[in-house]
Amino acid sequence: MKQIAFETQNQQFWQEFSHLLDQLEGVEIKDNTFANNWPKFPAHYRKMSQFLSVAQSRQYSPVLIDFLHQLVLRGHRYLYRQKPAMWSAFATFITQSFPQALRREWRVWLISSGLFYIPAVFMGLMCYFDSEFLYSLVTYEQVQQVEYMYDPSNATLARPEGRESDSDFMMFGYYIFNNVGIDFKTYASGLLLGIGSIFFMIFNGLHIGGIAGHLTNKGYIETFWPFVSGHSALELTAATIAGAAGLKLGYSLINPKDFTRGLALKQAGIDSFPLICGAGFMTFLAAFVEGFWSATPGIPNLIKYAIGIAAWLAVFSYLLLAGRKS
Amino acid sequence: MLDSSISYETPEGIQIQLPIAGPLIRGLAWLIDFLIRSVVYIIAVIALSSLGEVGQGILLIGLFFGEWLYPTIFEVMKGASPGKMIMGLYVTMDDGTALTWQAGLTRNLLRAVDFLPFLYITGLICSLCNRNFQRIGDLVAGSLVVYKEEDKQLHSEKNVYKPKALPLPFTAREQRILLHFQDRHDNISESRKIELANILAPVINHKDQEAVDILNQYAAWVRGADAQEAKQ
Repeated sequence: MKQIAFETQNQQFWQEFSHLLDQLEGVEIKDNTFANNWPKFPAHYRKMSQFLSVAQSRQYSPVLIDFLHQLVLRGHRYLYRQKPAMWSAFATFITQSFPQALRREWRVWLISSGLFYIPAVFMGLMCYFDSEFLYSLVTYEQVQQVEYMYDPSNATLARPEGRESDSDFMMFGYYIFNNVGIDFKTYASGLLLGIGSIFFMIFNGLHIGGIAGHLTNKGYIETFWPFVSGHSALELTAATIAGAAGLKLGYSLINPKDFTRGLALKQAGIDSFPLICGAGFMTFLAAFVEGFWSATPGIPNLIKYAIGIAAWLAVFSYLLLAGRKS
Repeated sequence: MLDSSISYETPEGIQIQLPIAGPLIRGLAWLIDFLIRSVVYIIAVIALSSLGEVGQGILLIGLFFGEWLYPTIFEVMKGASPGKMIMGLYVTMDDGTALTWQAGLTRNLLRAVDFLPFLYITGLICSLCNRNFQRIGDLVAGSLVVYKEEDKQLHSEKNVYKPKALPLPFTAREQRILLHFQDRHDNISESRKIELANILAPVINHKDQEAVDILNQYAAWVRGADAQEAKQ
């Protein structure tokens, strides 16, 4: 068949297919023929694929082939799209996929927890017994600032005593921007053969442990520990999970096993995706707690500690138990 | 053909071509996105300044969304961030299907590494080291940045030339080139047409404008034009 005959015979079908695609993609308004036509879309798409391959094998002109190719490409993109139901996917993710994925990757999680807690405990003890030790890691000005924030004699300025709800909201925004951002950076820097994640985990461990030890040594127990107890479970655990996700990426480059490095990396991206999303979500929740609960004045310390312990139990029973078959 | 397209075989057994976008045009798209974000931030700072600390809180949350989630949301919902749309690009999976949320988030969270040490140096080096111009985030997510296909219309005004049988058998590929020559007549200048037609002068025994006309007649014959409807 010559090209012109082929065109005249099928042109109407092509125009209708293009019109249907416009409607499906939302470029054009759906008219009353749409309800009739869209169930036929997959069949029409396959017919278009056939037109394209016929046109190619018969060596019709490139302009015609380009025209058909463009319609097929759009059809392919629409037919094979993945469109999950957002909310149910999110609910399944929280109740099942995330804790399941974390338990599947328990080895990297254990390693990243070690990379965080061992330096934290070490630095904490060192700073507790030696009031000068924190200066080996943190500058003098920063130590001054932290001490000032938690100084009990500084009642009006100390956060646990006199923070207004406006500044609660500002701190909430800051925690989201800063803490969730650190999770994401920890994850991404895992691509540098894991070194970035390892650095973030150890550095944050030393920093957090050091400040806790230093303030305890100073005797600021009443201002520091009740403040951090509430959000510590969510925030610290999320940090270790983000680290685990980053280590997963880095390890796939070091030991790709039976795959090429490219494929191993792609698979690690899929495996670590639930971890970083879960970590981001937990840090987001921690920002709520930290912004609106931790600094609330007038609540007895005992209650704050009780809530803190309950949060640790809740977080770990969620991560270890949710999504198991009964 | 020398271009940066890659082809992918669909389940229907046909090859689709994805024209990959290079680092330069992607850099320009990023610059446009950067300018858009900067303008929005400046407006937000001015608008929220009257709200005091609540305003600062909103600003920080907005900054978080702008830096981490702005490209993801546009790329998954619309196919491209505004900068890419303006440059005629879109993001797709490496099998030509629409970008998934997972891939969209992955490629944009990993921007942090592609950006290192400054201005996407790592991403640039990585994209120059593989065939598909993928930066690290694209490699992990399995995504590609490609040119958007133009909304092509098929013109069927091919009946203007009286079909004339080919003087000697042309191969299928040669016939195809002939058709392409005719299809491009709007896009190339008269003198270029003559220049191209003159290459064939020894074969078709005509020169200059006559050669162009006779090639068009051959093309009409290959295409299968009806002699009755032809004008010249």
